Amino acid sequence: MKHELEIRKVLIVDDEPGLREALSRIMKMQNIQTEVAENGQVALELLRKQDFHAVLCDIMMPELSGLDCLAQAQSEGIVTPFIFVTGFSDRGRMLQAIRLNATDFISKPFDNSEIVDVVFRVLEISNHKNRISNEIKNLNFEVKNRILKEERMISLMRANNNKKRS
Amino acid sequence: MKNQATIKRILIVDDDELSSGVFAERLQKRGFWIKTITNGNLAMELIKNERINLVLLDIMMPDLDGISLLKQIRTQYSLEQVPVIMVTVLDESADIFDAFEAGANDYITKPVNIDAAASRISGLLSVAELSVERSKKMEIQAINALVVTYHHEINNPLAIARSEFQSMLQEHPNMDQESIRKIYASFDRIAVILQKIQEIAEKNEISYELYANTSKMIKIKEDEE
Repeated sequence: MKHELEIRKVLIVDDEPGLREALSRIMKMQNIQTEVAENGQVALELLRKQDFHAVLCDIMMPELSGLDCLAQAQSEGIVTPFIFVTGFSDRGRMLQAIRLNATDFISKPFDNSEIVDVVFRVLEISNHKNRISNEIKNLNFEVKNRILKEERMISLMRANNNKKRS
Repeated sequence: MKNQATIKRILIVDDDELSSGVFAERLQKRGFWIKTITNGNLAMELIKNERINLVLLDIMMPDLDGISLLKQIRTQYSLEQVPVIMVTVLDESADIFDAFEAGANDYITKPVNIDAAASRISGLLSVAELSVERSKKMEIQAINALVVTYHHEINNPLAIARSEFQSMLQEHPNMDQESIRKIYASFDRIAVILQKIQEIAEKNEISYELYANTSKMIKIKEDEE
């Protein structure tokens, strides 16, 4: 299967270097590629240039917050799922994150297994989405093909009928 | 019915027992709690022990004069904490300037007009009450900001330490089980403290407990409740 071999890549966004490293280490142990960004602005620039399967994102950061980063990405048509890694002081902003269609939340401190579970679940969902959209593409293609065939048949039949009459 | 907390406690300091007695009686009828003393030397102790809200202070007294006592009060209490109204006879008006300089809030003249005196007392008491509320609110806000900041500053390193430790365990599974248990127990203790700190930040009131008799500590252990 081609999907299973596909390289998976996660973007890690946190202003705390230690957390970026800890999260990268967890991802690497699962053979997931990572890129890191120290704030929302840097993350946004990476999101514009590369495809990621998910974003692990802090909320409160200098320059551009996690929420503003998500809002801006969405307005530019970037649909990469965001998983927010939150502290206690972020609580008030979680409702806003939900309204922005955040995919999931993990609160600090976390168990590594929790991060792995959530990331894999999100990757699976985006995989499903890709599969479904591929299937829809294939089906659309098939429908168009069939319509073309039938139209050709109909026009051939008409041509034959006209020949008989004449 | 007024409850204990809303009844205002007034201390009258006047060497003239007769006139202060009449004054006290009239104020009592208006719902104030009154304590009368003729000797200023006891005043400081009473203000503290009886949780006095306002002092009516005769400017001329034989033992300790009014201005000196006023200065003493102001070394410990601000104009908002314990308002002081000076009581004078009309020809002492020159002393009033000294009194204001020393931290008097207002003055009334003898013979006392009870309506005027009561309204001045009420006015000062409500200002004092507002100011206490305001400073309490500011204190809570400051503590809240502090708590949220420190929570964040402790929580992040805890998250890093816990995560790195778990990654390490995964790569080196043969580590001493007893050490692992102890490290996890310590992480849990820090997490429990953070939880308590978080609860403080969510509360509107802060309670202190005395620690080692000198410094105040914010109460984070749940007891008696």
